[in-house]
Amino acid sequence: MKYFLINFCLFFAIACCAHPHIYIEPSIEIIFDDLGLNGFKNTWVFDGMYSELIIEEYDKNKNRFFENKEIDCIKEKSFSNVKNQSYFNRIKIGKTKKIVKEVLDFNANIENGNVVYSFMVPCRIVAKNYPQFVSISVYDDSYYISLDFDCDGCLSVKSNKNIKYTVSKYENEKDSFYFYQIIPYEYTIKYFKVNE
Amino acid sequence: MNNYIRFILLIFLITFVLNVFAEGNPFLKSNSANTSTKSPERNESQIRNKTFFTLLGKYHRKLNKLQNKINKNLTRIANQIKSKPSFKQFVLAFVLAFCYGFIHALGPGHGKIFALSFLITRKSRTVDGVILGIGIALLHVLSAVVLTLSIYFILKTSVLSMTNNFEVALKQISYILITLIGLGIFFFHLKNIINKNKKIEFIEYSSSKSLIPIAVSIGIVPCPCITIVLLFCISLNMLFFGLFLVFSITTGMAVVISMFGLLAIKLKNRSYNIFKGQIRDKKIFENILGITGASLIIMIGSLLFFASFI
Repeated sequence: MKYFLINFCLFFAIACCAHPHIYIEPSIEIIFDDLGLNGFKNTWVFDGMYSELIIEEYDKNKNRFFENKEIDCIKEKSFSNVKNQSYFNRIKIGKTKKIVKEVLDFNANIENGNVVYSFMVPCRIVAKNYPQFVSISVYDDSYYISLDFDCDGCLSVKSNKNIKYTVSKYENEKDSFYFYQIIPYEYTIKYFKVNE
Repeated sequence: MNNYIRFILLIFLITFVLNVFAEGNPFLKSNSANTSTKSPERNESQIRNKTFFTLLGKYHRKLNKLQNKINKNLTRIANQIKSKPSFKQFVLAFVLAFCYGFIHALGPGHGKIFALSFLITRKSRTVDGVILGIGIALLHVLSAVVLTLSIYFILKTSVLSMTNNFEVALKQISYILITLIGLGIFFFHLKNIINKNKKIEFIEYSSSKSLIPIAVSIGIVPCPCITIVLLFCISLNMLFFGLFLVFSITTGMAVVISMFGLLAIKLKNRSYNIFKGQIRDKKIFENILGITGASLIIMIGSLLFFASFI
């Protein structure tokens, strides 16, 4: 009986492990301005293999540089489809989930052979005199794409003298996806306005 | 119902659910939200109890990082080979690609659940698990290679989106074939149970030849990982090196799928030993297992087929 159960657990453990096909190293810059939180600047660095595919497909003049026309094409054909997944930005304002409907300043370029997408997710929340909480994590819940939001320097803050903040990182088991197998890292930003 | 059977069914069902959603590139699909596998939110008490899933999540993260690391190294070595090829780097590339295929096949997809279900429905020899594993891996990769090269060299069109479209169509064909095979097995075992007094040759489809239809049905779905690796090598003007990597990845995948095949056969034998005291007729037990396996194949195949239209 013991071996039987061990075998089943082994089978289960093996079968449960999901496999992404594309790897992205995302980094997010939290932008504060005089009013409070302005938004999240995303930078996604694609893995070398998939990058070559994007270059092959969209760098029409083969100069290893994306011109505006090519960037528009990338945005339309290889980026905007993830709108349905909030551009992989899972934002919570307090405890309320925010659906990202639009992004600003989309750009695509090639750095050291890797394709890099950058864009801004607007999220205007005016700072108050008391603490407010905003959380963000980045993941594709179909797990076709792995977004490693655990890497060094994947979160930075563009601060403002009027705003005081703290950032904490934790594994958010509550939002685990792929049937509880993948536990995303989440960053919670606590901020408030400093009285001058 | 016996607790053991409940346990078996539960494991299969959970695994099935986990596998259903492992498809489609979100960047290329306009309805990417439909493939969402967001889990229902857990409450605090569920989270406090460290579950199997929590531990699996941690293990999985490590596995994922490893796969990412191999991917990076493979990219680096391919670029090095392009500029300055050496035997040492070829060997290293082969080993890395094997590991990549091995780890990659541990994930959902690749037809492991069908292979498992199929093998429990029939009288299988140990070698059948290996043959089926190799067969599925070979066809899985071959379909990706043929599709990618055809689109690239013959159609000369957008490979990324075209392969994605073909992948969806081939998956639908695959699901239909799998469901039909499941129905065939189901009725075969049902007939055996109904005619239990008649002398019927036990599991007529136990020859190795009978593995071909299931291997083809599962294997025709191209592996996106192979498409990506191959296109990457083509972009470096190293088609043959790409095929060399593909061969190595296939070997890694074949080992994993064969392991699953062997596991299915071992599990089936072990479950028979557990029920030994309660089983009066081995034939009936085999037929019940056959019907269970066939039902799973039908259910998974048909649900995947309908889910692909959502």
